[in-house]
Amino acid sequence: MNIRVKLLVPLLLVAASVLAVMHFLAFASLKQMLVVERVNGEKRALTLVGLAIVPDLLVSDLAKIYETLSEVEQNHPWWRSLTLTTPAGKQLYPLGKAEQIEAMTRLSVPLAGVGRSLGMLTVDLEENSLVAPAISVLRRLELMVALILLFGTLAVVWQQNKSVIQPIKNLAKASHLLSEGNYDVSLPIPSGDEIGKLVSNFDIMRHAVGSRETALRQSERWLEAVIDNSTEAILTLDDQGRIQSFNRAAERIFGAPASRAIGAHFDQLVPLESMVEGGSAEIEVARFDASRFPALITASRVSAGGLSMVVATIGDLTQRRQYERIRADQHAELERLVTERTVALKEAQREALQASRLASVGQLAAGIAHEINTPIQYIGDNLNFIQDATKNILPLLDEARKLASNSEHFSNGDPLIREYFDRVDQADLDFLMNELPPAISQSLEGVTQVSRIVLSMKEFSHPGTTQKSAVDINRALENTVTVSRNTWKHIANLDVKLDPKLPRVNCHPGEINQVFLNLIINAAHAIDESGKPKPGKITVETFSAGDFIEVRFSDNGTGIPDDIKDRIFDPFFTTKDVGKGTGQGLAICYDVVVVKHGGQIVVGGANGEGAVFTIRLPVA
Amino acid sequence: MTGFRFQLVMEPTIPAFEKALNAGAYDFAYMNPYHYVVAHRRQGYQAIVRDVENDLYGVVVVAKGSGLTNVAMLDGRKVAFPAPNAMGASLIPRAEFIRKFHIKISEVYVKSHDSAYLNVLLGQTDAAGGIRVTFDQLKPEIRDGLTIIHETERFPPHPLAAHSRVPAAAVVRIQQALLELGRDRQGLRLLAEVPIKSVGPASDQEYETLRHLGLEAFYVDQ
Repeated sequence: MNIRVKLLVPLLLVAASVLAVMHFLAFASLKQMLVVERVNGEKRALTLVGLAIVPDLLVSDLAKIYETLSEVEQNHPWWRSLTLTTPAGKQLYPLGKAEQIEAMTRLSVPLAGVGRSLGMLTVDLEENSLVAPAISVLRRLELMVALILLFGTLAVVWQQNKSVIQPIKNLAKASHLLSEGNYDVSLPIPSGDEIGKLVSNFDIMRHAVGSRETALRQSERWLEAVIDNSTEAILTLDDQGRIQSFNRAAERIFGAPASRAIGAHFDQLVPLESMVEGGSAEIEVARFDASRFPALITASRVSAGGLSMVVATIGDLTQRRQYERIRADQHAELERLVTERTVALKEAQREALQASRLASVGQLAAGIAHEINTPIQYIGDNLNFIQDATKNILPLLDEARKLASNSEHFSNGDPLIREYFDRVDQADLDFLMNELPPAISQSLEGVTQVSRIVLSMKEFSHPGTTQKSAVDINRALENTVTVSRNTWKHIANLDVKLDPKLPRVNCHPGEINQVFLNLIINAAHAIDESGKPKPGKITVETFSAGDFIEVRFSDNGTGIPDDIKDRIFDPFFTTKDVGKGTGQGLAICYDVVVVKHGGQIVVGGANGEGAVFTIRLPVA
Repeated sequence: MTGFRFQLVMEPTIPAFEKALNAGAYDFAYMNPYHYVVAHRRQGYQAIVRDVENDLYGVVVVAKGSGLTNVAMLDGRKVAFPAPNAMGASLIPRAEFIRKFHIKISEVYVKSHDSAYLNVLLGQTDAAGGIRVTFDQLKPEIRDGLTIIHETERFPPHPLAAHSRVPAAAVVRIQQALLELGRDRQGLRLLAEVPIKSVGPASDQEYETLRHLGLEAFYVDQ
């Protein structure tokens, strides 16, 4: 029996008892009283009617009596058989025979006037109909009371249902849900009474328990996440060595799902005797498929809530071992590379120093060239003057000697003439006269060559030029050839075939000169190292090709093997003997031509027959 | 219609009316023929219109099955009348009982025609005096128990009479107006309430026979 029925039944019983008492005792007495009272009332009314008709009866005004009694009958529908009889018993009213109804209360009023009996007024009353309106009111009252009791009871139950039972039911439902772990049950607070406080306190408790549960679950999830995301296998074992938990890493490492592993004996994977509680050991363990791998295993015993278990972590060392081997190999390789690069760096440093020194020398050379140029100029002029003067003086000197030998004074043995001839002999005048013109000519040639070299040095070095400028590439090549002459003149003949229509090229002249110099030196070195009979052959050519110009350096040295063609422009790549090449020359060429000028540098030529380097530079 | 304004006077009792009428209190009055004869004589009232269709006469009724079949059989018996001075129901029958049938009866005055008829029906009196109209208006259950054994002589019914002081021209105009009422439906409806079924001119000569009946002997001063 639920609480609602328990509440409803007593209330209904009380209501029914009240109704029964009302119906069988109170209402019955009331009805009897009503009947008596009403009969008395009716008798009084009949007496009054009798009194009213007496005067009419005295004058036999039967019409008036009829009128009166008819009206009385109309006004008293509960009066039956209203009858007026004479003292002799003759009926005066109504006209027809009065109906006689059994089981009725008969009221009679004697009529008298002027000292004599005038007749009798009689009426029948039906008690039930007499009190019917009052009984009807009573019945309605009874019904009302019954309804009030019923609805009152229901209202009380409804109210209690709303304010007590329903909240308690909700509470019971919520408690049930709570016990199932559902904390999202919101309970409306019914009121501020004790039930409301109960619900409110329950809600606080629900929130508290929910929060703790959430925190606990979160903590569990964190722990699970930590365990699941561990790279090491983490297992728990019971006292018999059976696996109780098996994380994802364990599944991966031992090659079996947790569902298979849990419950299995751990010693089929790891010999239990090799495990050291509270310590770690590197041992070989087995997977579920019996394959073996090196592992680092640690084990510790933990106790919680009166239970103890062993927590084992197993790290797979296979990969680490592989990494260790690879790392050792890489270490050795690295050391080798470091040694190699250190040597190269030292060489590069030396080259850089050399380049710096060359740059200084270039500046010095430019300065010297400028200083030399002026004396060379007047030396040349003076030598030309001496040459012209000699051409005039020498015939005159010869004629003077001929005149002296043919004069009388010569035949006379004039001492002055003799002394003159002695001094001619001493001066070896013929020799002087023969050798002087060629000596002057050679001096002039030397001066001319010096002045040309000085000019080339001056133009080649281009001190202080950092901006691009329109450069005559043919002229730059001629200068480079001149400056580098010393490096190739004993090794090869150098042919220069320049396109006279070559347009000027917008470039850094100093850097372009460096490229040309490097390629000419490389060609000379290639020929020198080829072991072929000298002199070899170097050809420098220029071509105009639309928006580009091409400069081609060909030699008949060793050529470049195909397998290294891709690498020759790499920094530090060299085929020269250690200490001889820096590996920077072609890298610099590439940097200058491709990176700084947007041009191309192409290597060609057949292996063993010589190399051909072609540079393409954009004109603009 | 006439240009006159009238004041309607209704006296509480017949005797009060008779007293005022005989004193000449009304310019115009509607009265029974006996009253007219007296008022004419005393105040000079002149009849101007009356119902020309129905005559006034009395009836004598007895209970069916009473064995009474003619007036003569009423000799010595008890007869109910509405009132002593009721023209058709009392004065005329009583006059005829004495002067025409020479019988003596015991009169009971029972206030109304209906009471008179009921007294007969209920055996309180042997006969009753009434008039045709009231007898015909009885409820069937009463009327069916009664029967008329005598109708009295007929007389012109109630006239509307003008006092002699009213100028003749005004009397004529009013008479014409009343006769005019008898010519349209609405007027007929008004007259029927009086009751006058068919209005027509009345003359004093028409009431001459009444004067010779000697009703004064039967009139009771009240």
